[in-house]
Amino acid sequence: MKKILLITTAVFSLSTYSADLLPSCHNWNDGSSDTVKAAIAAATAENKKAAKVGFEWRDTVKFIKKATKLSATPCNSSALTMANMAKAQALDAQKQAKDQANAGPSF
Amino acid sequence: MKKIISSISAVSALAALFVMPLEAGAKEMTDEEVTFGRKAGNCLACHMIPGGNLPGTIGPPLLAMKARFPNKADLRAQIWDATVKNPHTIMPPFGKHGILTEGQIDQVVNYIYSK
Amino acid sequence: MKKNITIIALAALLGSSVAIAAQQSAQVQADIDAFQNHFKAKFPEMDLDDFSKGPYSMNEDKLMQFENIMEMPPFEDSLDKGEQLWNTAFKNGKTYSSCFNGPVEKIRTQFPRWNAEAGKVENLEAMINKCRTDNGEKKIGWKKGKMAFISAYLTTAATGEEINVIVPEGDEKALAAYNKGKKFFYSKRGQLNLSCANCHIDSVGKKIRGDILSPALGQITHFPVWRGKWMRKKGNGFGTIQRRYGGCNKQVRAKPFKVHKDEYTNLEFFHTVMSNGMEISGTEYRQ
Repeated sequence: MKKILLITTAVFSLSTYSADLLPSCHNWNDGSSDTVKAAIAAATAENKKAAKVGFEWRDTVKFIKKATKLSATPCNSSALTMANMAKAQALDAQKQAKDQANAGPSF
Repeated sequence: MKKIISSISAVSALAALFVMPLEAGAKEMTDEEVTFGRKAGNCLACHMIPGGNLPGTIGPPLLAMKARFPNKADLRAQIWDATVKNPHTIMPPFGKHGILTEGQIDQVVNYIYSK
Repeated sequence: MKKNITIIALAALLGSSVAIAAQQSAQVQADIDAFQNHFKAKFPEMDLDDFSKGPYSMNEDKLMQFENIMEMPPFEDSLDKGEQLWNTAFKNGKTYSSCFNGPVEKIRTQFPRWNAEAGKVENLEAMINKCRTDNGEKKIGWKKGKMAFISAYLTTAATGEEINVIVPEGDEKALAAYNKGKKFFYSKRGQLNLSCANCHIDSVGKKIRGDILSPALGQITHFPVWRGKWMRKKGNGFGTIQRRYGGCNKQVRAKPFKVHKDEYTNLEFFHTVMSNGMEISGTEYRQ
């Protein structure tokens, strides 16, 4: 149940954000906002899955750290962007692991 | 409930797609800079391109691109994800893996298509 | 009770397979042949041991530069240090050689090796640190410094010795470790979606910017290497094979694995087996 809640909040925040792509400052998007926290949590969770299958990418944790740092200051649309980039990387890495399940020589 | 969750995650994936290209697009680079830059397209790592120094020889020279790709969209698709045509290709999937933003890929396509 | 007996019998069997020189797994031998034949077919003018010169085997100018450097190698002092360390007694009076079998020139080619009892691959650097802890000394760093000096000394002492790594026939666990290393080698990883094979099999001899891609065959014969690139960083230029793996993974924008865990050690197992029959060329310069 906790997981579901987490996903829903993450998603809710994301769709809210995508409806408003202007990188300007918004009150709802301050450092303490659950939106950013949820996005960071989602990215971290997905990246752990990528690491578990042995395909974590080099910069994903850097992006998560950057997002966390940025989220400490108010008006941080880039914190969310950064967290979402990290999550996209983690998902790509997981897909890569599946694609490479039967990797072998071509001769 | 399960259905709801999956449709929700589909939305979130879409949302991520929209949000992603924002980041790197901040700096204004010329088409040539995106194509040649070691921290951008770095196309010269593998391809000879007229006007570029110290090209690699892993991929074919990027010449006469209009003849090779009469349809410009095919060239863009090849840069976006070359593994579609050949799963073993050494060419990184610049769009699929977010190595370049969508805008940067357009810039590379424009630059190379003029060669 | 019956179960116990079978276990004991099995253990005895395993034990004996260690004592007697184990036979190479047929599957692995077929892989070696296919791997080496691929290179021979692609570069018919080259002998097996020529591949050990890596990128320099692919370009005459670069080979000349390399040979010039190797006439007065910039790392001789470090090899001397390695020899000194090798011969320096621990606090208990023993030296490294007490942990290894055979004379100094016969040690390098015993590794990596399959340890059936432990159920894992052991490489040279792991055994150097094991030797230290077995003798009440602290471990030393894995990737460079003293570890690389000692390992480089042993590699240089073994110049001309033949690589002959065995994945014992019938040992499922050994084969599984080998297969993990093999899969690692051929898997695309990182944001750039590149496998070891993409560069070091598919594109051997081609240029990436100004650099020539080296053949995977024979890469193992000259490690640890002294690299100009590492010299310019912190340290004195020396690095082990697993340090190099980490660098490769970073370059394809994958998160590198910790050295001396299963991932790189199994990779080293596979990577070395593929060069079976080649001579160790001693520690060398790389750019």
